[in-house]
Amino acid sequence: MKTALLEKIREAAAEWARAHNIETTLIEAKYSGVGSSVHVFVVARRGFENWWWSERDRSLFRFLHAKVNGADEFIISSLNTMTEEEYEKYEGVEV
Amino acid sequence: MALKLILQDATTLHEAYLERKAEYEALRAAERWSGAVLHAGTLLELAFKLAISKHLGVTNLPAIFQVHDLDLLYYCCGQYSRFKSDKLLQENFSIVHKRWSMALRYEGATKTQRDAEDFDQALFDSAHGVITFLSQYF
Repeated sequence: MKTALLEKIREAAAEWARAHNIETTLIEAKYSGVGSSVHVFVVARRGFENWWWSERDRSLFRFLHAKVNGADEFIISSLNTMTEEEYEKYEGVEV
Repeated sequence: MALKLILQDATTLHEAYLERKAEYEALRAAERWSGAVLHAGTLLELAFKLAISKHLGVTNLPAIFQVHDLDLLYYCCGQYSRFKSDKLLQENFSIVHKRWSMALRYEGATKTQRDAEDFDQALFDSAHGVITFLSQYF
């Protein structure tokens, strides 16, 4: 089931956050609407401030692919980890 | 009903790609990191459109491809299954996807050398860079 997969991704992202002592305020996993692409989004109140964005993005990407069964059945086409400050600054900015 | 096509043909798009690539390299050499990041995303968009033209075997793309929607371009480029099976390629695409948008053109010098290097690696890494990969198809 598609919703079950999204729930697994959310749970795995939460597990990744706990393993890195990250205090999250938002964990989102949703289908992009194009193919089997999934967008994953994590916002943290604490824990990202001293961790460079591409390193934490890549860490989460690899964790999700290792953790979620059926990883070959979907594509994570967008993955983003943000501090609350980045979230307030950038989220919702569209052209 | 006639199908609306993008005015620029594939040859013109390829010329545009080469021009933007030269500008991208000049911006990096001049340490204009925000401009380099903006151009990096533009190059990815052009690379996808060139790959789609080749995949469809057309000289002018339908106007529905006149978009900045990387998800759509990614899905239609003819290499979706390859992205699915190559996790490093997928990872490189995923980290650029959300961090780049045309909205960057409204920003000042917000990007650092490290940001620009991350984009460059994701797109031009010799083994798994997204544009390195797509360039086989245009």
